[in-house]
Amino acid sequence: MEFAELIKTPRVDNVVLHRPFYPAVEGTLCLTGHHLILSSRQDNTEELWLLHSNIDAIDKRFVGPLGTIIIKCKDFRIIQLDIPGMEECLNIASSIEALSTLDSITLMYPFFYRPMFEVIEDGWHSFLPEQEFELYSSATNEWRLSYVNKDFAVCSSYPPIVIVPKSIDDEALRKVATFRHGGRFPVLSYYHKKNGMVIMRSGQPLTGTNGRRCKEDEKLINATLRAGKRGYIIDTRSLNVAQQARAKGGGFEQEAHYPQWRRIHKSIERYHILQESLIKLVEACNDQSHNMDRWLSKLEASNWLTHVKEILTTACLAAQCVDREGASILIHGTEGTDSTLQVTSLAQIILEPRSRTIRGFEALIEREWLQAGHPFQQRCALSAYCNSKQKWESPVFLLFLDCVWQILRQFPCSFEFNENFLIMLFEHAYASQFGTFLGNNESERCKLKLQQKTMSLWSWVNRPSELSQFTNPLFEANNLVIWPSVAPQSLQLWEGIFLRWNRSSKYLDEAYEEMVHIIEYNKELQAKVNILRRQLAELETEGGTQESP
Amino acid sequence: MEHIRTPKVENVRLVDRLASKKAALGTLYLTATHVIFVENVPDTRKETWILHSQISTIEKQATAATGCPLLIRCKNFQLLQLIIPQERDCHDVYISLIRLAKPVKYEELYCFSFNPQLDKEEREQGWMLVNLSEEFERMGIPNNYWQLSDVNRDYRVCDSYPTELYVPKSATAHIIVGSSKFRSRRRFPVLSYYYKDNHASICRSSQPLSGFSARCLEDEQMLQAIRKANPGSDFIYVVDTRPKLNAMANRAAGKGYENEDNYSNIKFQFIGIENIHVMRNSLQKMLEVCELKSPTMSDFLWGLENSGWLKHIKAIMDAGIFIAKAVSEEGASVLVHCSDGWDRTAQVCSVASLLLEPHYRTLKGFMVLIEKDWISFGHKFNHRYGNLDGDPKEISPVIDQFIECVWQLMEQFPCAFEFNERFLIHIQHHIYSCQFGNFLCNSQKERRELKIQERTYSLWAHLWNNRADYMNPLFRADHSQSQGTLHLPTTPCNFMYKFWSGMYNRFEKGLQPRQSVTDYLMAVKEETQQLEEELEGLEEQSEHLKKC
Repeated sequence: MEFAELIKTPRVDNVVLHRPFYPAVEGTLCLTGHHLILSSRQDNTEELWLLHSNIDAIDKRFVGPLGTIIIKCKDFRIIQLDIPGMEECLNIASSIEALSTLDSITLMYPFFYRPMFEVIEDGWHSFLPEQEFELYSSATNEWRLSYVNKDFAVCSSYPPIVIVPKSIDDEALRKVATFRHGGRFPVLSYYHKKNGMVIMRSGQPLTGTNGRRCKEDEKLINATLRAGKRGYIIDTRSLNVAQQARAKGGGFEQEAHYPQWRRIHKSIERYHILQESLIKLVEACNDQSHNMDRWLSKLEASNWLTHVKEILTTACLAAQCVDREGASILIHGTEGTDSTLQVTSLAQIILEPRSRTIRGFEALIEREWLQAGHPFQQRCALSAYCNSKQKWESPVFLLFLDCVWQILRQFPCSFEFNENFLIMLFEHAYASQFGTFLGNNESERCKLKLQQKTMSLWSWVNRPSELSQFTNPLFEANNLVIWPSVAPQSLQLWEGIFLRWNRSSKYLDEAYEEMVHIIEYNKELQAKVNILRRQLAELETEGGTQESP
Repeated sequence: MEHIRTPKVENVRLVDRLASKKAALGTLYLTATHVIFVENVPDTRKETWILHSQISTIEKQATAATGCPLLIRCKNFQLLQLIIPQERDCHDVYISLIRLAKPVKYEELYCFSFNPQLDKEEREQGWMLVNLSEEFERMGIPNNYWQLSDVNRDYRVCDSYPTELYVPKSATAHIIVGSSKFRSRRRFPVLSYYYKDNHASICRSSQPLSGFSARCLEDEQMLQAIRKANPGSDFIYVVDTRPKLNAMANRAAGKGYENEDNYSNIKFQFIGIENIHVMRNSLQKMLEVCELKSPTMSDFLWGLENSGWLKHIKAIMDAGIFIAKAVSEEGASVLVHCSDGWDRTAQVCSVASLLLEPHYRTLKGFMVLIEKDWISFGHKFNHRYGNLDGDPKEISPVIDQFIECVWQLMEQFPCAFEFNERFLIHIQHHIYSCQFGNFLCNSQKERRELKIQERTYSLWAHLWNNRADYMNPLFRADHSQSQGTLHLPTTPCNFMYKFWSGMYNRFEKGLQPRQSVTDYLMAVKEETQQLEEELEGLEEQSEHLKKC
């Protein structure tokens, strides 16, 4: 196979593995095309099975003939391998380095992975845009599906099918696309059934320095307003940044041309600022010194929670406009592929009970992140330990998951899924055997033929045997809008992600088990009582019939 | 009542701190015991009651167009902002409250007028709920090594200690009295906790009056007696919970710490916990952060760090962990002291006991622990919590810190405690409320003189009667976390300690999680119990019918 030349030493004996919270294990290290495997010699049971694509960075050092490789993973775990023999160690290190930074997507594991489970439902077809649209079409006939982008010619980062106002034809959409960054013309993101208000999203308008305008664009977004109603445009950039964007051909909606819209600027950070924030945060979490002061100041200096707060605040604002003010909104930043999606998807978590169920949340990820063209391949290529500072690497999706976790923590009974579900999504976004998060948009995914060549994450997750570990036992469906608090006192570091490898979770896991036990036992009794009641009723009627003749 | 200048003010507005646009219009009443605000909304007429004894500070702010703002800060961290239309009324309320919040006689306190409609017998039973003789018996004391001493009968040796004290059997009255003369305020070493499994003990005292070179044979014999009471170990730890510098400074005043050369077989150890003044300022700073109007994340984290509060919590925990380890793992007895042995010593002994002893992690056991290490050993509740008007420099959140340590432990060990967060919050509340007599005065002697038990009610009975509200649904007596010692890392990582918003922002419900897992699980458990009963009934019926 094609990986053979990258694997200089496929197997080394007497390697010692050090992991957090486990005793050191001595065993045989094997490298395969996609995995690093360490199994102890004693009973030959599997000890470690690590995807190369999960490796973020490696360090090596030598003490005499003993080499040590420190492997830093994208899920923030750090493991250490002690390898006897300098040559073996160097070979292993360079092999890992090569295998963890494969250039071609088609060499990635999802293209080689053969599932050992039976596919009950093909996840690639679980969330079709037509089905999603049906949920709305019962409530409104003001919107339609447009196939204008079916060959990705109008907008390369949009899916083939989008939802647009019924009164706007495809020709107009093509024109609007030339006026929006990346061709991302305004499309429907969310329809609030309660009052018919909507959330739309797009790229920035290309007004440039001379205030270019586009009548079709104005017509499109005005088509979503009821007579006499005003809408809000939420620009996720500060006014300053938005103004600067004009010099590069971008810009924002001028009041004069959009008199029915009020523009609000928020400032959500992007790109390397978020990446640096993540690097600092993970560094602080890994710091083993015990000075209380330094911990808080490092947490503060990372700014991670500031980003969480800013994103949540903007999402609350969007939800407020829709639910409380009864106004429709358009959200965009620059490209409309990052902060825009954070805000539209979190607003839906707040507003839409369905998005708090497992299926609904999966649909949300599919619709608002994958189909909407969040460039996962670029954003999640590397994680907190990388040294390369590429502009496009950025933990945008992780921040979104963190915000969801914050809401989940404040409303522990309102979500059908639990924290493990969010952690699982984080892991798979960065390294996975499934094809779901490969590629940067639908167009790329089509070209890669992911549906034919790889397995969908949803095919695996949605099996009843897997779902149980992701189901929140406290869940009680409610139809309410849930308003999270964004005060600093209400926001916490997501320990399940960031301290996962730095503190034992034994006692917390026990508490979770106890909680499950309490609820399961209750259900069990409920079932028993119901059966007995029925049996008794039957016995009584039988008794009655015997007596009555 | 003579201090109330105006009993009622109308058209007062109560400002919602989180949403300053929202203010409730209502009437303000001053009574002998409470400030009461009643909203004008006819259907609800929502009432806010504040006990005078909860009032920490009252601030009259500059008159604005809307009226005269009055800011009332409470010891239970409630913050009330009132706007009173007339400056004159505001002034009258202000002057009245200043006096009402600082009673000068115990008899003015709420517990002397509080009447829960219990008869005499019920009240007496309430006071008997927590019994320290029984507690020492539970520990296995007296035994071959420890005995009850009557040396402090009528508080002859030490007026801040209780009359019933447990000391090593080999410590004669001569040794005790000699030792007491060599200790600050005569607080000689006595037993606080006995670890049945290996005979190791936690003893407590005040600092020795060693100065630069003074010695006391009886005191040295006293420590030796403690060591001998533990046949499993040939040394004892002496833990001084002060920063070393503070302890050294004390030597100049003829006080100080034990010289290892003079005491045979002791291992001396400093564990630096700051004094009451540092802690008071630290809390003050943290509360300022909690009060910030819409702070940024940075404001909040910076402020929290600058307050030093969590660092102090960690210092207390570290000391408790050290002692628990010495006792359970090394099998060594520990003598703990600070300066007077009634603040830091109480904190550290009770944290260590809590880590060692599952009983103290139950509802009843926790009451016993506070009764033992705080109330009976003369923690100066009156001075520290300012129940009566006194020296503001004596006030310090000493027991608040202990209560927070317990909460931090509950976060780490969610199944280990029989009680929940609400239980801790209500205890904190009542330490300041003076609604019950438990926490009055500075010592057992004073409480007996005041005849507290005959004239007031016990909080413990009140909490016990309402125990359904205070249960932790995750607690199971047979769960591994409710057995034996709680094991924390020797030097717990800094990130283990978190800001306790449920306490310090407890009145800002908007900041708390909107759904309570505890309440949810309690409801499930209650339903489970009903189902169990129903199931039993149904099974009986079905048996019966089958027989027919």
